[in-house]
Amino acid sequence: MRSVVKHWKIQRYSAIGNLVLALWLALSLMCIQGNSFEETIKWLKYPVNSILISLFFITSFLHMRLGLQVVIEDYISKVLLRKRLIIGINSLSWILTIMSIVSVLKIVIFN
Amino acid sequence: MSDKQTLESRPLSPHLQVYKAQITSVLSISHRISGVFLSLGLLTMSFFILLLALGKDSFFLWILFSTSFVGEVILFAWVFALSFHMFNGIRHLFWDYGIGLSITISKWTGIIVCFASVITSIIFGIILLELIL
Repeated sequence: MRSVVKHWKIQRYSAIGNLVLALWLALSLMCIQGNSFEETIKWLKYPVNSILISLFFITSFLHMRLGLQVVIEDYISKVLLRKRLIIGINSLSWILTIMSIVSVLKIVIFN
Repeated sequence: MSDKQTLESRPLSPHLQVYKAQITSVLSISHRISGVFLSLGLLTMSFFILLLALGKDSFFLWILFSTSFVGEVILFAWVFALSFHMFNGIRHLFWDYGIGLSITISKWTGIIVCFASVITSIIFGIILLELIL
C-alpha cells in the first residue's frame, strides 16, 4: 500500500478508536477529578481502566502524529524544516506512547 | 509519482484571509486548530500518567494543577475542543463515505456540530461544577 493511502486509512481507523476511547477517558477523568493519589491509583488498577487507557494512548498518539504531519505539510513550505519537524513529532509521539504505557504497567505491577 | 515527490511538490494551503468566512471554511480551520490544541491535551494526559507512576509527591503537582482555577479553565477548554473535534470528526467520517457532501447539507451539519459541541460542553461543565461543589 502506498504510504499516503496508509496514512489516510490509519487516520480514519484511529479516529474511530478515539471516538470511543477519548469519550470514555473524558467521562472517567471527570468522575475522578480532584481525587487523591490513592483513589486515582485504585481507579487505574481496574483492568478495564488500565487496558482502555493504554489503548487510548496508542490510538490518540497515532492520530495526533498523522494529523500534525498534515498540518506541517500544509503550512511549512521549507522542505528541510518540514522534514525535520515531521521526524521530530513522529519520534516524540512514539517516545510518549511508550512512556505512558510503561507508566501504566508500572502502576499496575508495583503500586 | 513517488511518495517523496508528492510530499515535496504538494501545493500549500490557500491563505485564509483571502476568502470570505463561511461556516464550512470556518469549521474546517477550527477542526485543525482544535486538533493542534488537543495535541497539548494529549501531552498533558501522558504527563498525568507519568506523574501518577512516579509517586505521591509527583502526583501532587497534578492535583495542584487540576484543582486550580487556571487548570480547570484549561481542562474545560480541552473538553470543548474535544467535543467539537469529535462531532466535526464524525461529519468528516460521513464525508469519507460520500454522505452529506452537498453545500446545503454540509452547512446544516456544520450548524448541528456547533450546537452539539456547545451543549455537550455545557453538560460536562455543569456536572463538573456539581462534583466540585
